[in-house]
Amino acid sequence: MLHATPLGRWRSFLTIAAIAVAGCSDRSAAENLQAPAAAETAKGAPMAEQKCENDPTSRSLCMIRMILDHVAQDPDRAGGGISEIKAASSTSYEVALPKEGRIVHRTYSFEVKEGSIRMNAPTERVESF
Amino acid sequence: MVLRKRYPRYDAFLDTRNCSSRTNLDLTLEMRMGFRPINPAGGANTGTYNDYGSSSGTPRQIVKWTAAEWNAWKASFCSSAQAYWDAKFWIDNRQGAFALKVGKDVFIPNGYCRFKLIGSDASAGFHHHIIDVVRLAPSENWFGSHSTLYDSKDTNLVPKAYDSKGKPILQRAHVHEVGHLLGLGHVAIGQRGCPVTGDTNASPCYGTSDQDKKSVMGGGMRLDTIHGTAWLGAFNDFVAAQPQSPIYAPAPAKKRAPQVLMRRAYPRTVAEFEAGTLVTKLLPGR
Repeated sequence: MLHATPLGRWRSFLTIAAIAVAGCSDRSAAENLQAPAAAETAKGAPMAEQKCENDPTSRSLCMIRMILDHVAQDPDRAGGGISEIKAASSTSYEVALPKEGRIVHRTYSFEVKEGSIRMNAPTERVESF
Repeated sequence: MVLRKRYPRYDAFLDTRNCSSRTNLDLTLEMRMGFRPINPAGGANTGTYNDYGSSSGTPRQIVKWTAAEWNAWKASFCSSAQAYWDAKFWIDNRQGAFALKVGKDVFIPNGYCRFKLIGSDASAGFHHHIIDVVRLAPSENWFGSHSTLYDSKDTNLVPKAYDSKGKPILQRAHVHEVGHLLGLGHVAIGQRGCPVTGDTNASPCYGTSDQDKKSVMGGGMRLDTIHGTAWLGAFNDFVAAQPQSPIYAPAPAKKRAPQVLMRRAYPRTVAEFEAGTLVTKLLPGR
């Protein structure tokens, strides 16, 4: 489980994760950035795929990298950044995206196959203030 | 004649004193906002305050308000929000109400929609809305605001969405918030992903098309006629409360529902009114 508090620790982790994940994919960072938007499909359908090592840390890093790429390409990305990324299971993460008056809680789920990770279209719920 | 009607969110005034063959009646919504400064705990000069004022929100760096900064911010908020909403709409008076005689001629004025925002400290006087305000540290560029908690940078023009080409759509958050205070909801309520009932804060409620995203009640700064709804409602209430005019009372068949316009429409003669003519240019001699 990753948590945003303290914020500095989280930022440091993301930096490390981004560097580490670059080495576990067979795709360039630029290709990864384009993947989510280009692969927008029906709800529940695979949106992006990456080759990853099979150990748990590599898988987690791949999933988080794909999540970050998706957020970077999100037309609704404006707001207060990412306040939380939390593993909901070994194949899903919940991401908190604070916006004006609300936090968008987005759940990313993945299909894990031998040597690759496929991301499904995320689902959202909103916490209003 | 000046009529007044109180609403929970604002007071409405209908003023016919300046009406003439060229000048419409003024329909003014007056909103009184009371502001409360949020300062770092314990009298410190700096500290943190969580997004949304919630214990689970992300802490942001804040700075103690000085009297000068506080007064300047309140003045800036009110003047810029008032300028944004004032004098943008007209009400097409299709009811034929408030007719006046100019010489031998009868004219029917339209409504010129004015907005007056009066801001002061919440500690004294009457206010339609009470708002807490944090002063963000220079290093902070975002804070989780909500309808009763603003931040000092809410008056800045910042990206609130991105269009289909990836270009940022800019908005000053405070004009959007004042829209809510006028009773307006988000731009895409009732459309896919944003049901009319329930929480209308979901992302699709702010618009999914470029057109909707650029609305002031989406993530942009564009006004549309729908945003004049508060004035239209007040006008209809004033008309409903008026006794029949001894100057001119149109036949029911000549009456239509008033509408919001985003361009000036001058007062009409009875003939122009009954023909359904909209006078957007003054003829010589009028």
